Amino acid sequence: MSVGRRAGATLMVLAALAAGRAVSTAFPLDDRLDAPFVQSGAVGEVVELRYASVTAGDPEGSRRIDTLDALLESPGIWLVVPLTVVAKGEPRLLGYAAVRGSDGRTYRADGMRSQFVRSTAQPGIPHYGSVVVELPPSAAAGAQLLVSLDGGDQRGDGMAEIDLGITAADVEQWAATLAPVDVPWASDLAEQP
Amino acid sequence: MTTWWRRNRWGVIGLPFALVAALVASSDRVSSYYWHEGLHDSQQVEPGEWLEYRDVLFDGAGEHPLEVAIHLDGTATTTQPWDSEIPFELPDGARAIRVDLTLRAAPDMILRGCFLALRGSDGTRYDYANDAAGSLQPSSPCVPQLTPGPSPSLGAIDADLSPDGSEARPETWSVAPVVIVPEDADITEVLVWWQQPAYAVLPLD
Repeated sequence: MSVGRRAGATLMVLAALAAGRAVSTAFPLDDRLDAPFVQSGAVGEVVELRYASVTAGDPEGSRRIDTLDALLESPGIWLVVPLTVVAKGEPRLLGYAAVRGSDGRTYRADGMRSQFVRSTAQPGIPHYGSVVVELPPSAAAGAQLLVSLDGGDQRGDGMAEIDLGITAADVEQWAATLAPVDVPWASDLAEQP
Repeated sequence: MTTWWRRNRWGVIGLPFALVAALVASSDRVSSYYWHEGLHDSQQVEPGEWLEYRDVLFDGAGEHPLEVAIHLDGTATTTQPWDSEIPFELPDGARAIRVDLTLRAAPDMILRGCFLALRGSDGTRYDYANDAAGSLQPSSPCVPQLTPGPSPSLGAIDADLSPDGSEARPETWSVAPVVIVPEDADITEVLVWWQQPAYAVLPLD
């Protein structure tokens, strides 16, 4: 092979590599590849996901909650959202629940103080739990509830994004309330015994 | 004059091997997320027949052959849990189904920690839960509660555990675990398994 042809081939290879690099970085795909498949809804609406239907009830708020026999007080507010889950296909234990505040932060119900109260839902049988999140009052109005299946990885799977319909007046009232909101155990029974 | 094929023969010969190597190198998740995850390696018999179930059990002491014969005697709607005095408090739109099984295995076979489920005609799986509808059933649905036989090894801490004082498990025994399902579920199969992906399928008559 002549020197000219060799140089030409080298240039072609470099051009192909540069074109590949340009194609793979030209489009902002990373965020989309990492994103869950979001299904939006509002309080009282059934949000259909691959693995379950979820419905959030009217949120309640207070400075205090009575949760599983412990009384917890917050310098901010506690938000308690009833959640009904109807599993699909096989029993499901939902692993992720959080509230996205109006400040852009995500307040996760991870079991430290904020809690995702639920157990395994048998398919076709409504399971009643709740999401309990502590957050600053300034972040509560306009907050959204996020629910997904995998506690460790929400990429590439369905996520419910539910507008909780919280107003500034709600937050003001809750921030001045010391009467605790009761957080019941998770159950398949609509009314707790 | 050398042809293109002759000049590049080693590259062409190596190309299939390179492709296979690339696929193998990028396929580690097939094992983690498919081969060892989920129920997809079934052992099945015709309705009413005994299933000679075979699997390999992994525990803290290594691998053990798992050999057990399973027979589905029948199913029935019930209101009472298995081996419990506390009655179910069934939610609206749900019913309880008792699964009558007879099993046969060597008394030293490790069978604790099994799972049981019902499967509907639409493929939906309903699992046995020992804590269901306000009642408590035995945790392991395929061995007798009082004579469950040996447990899987937990490894180095086995020596620190209290010895199992229960009597030996009989060679043949019956169980009657109860599964909560929706009222309109059309149940067609009973599933039993110890470690995924293998599972036993016992069709209803």
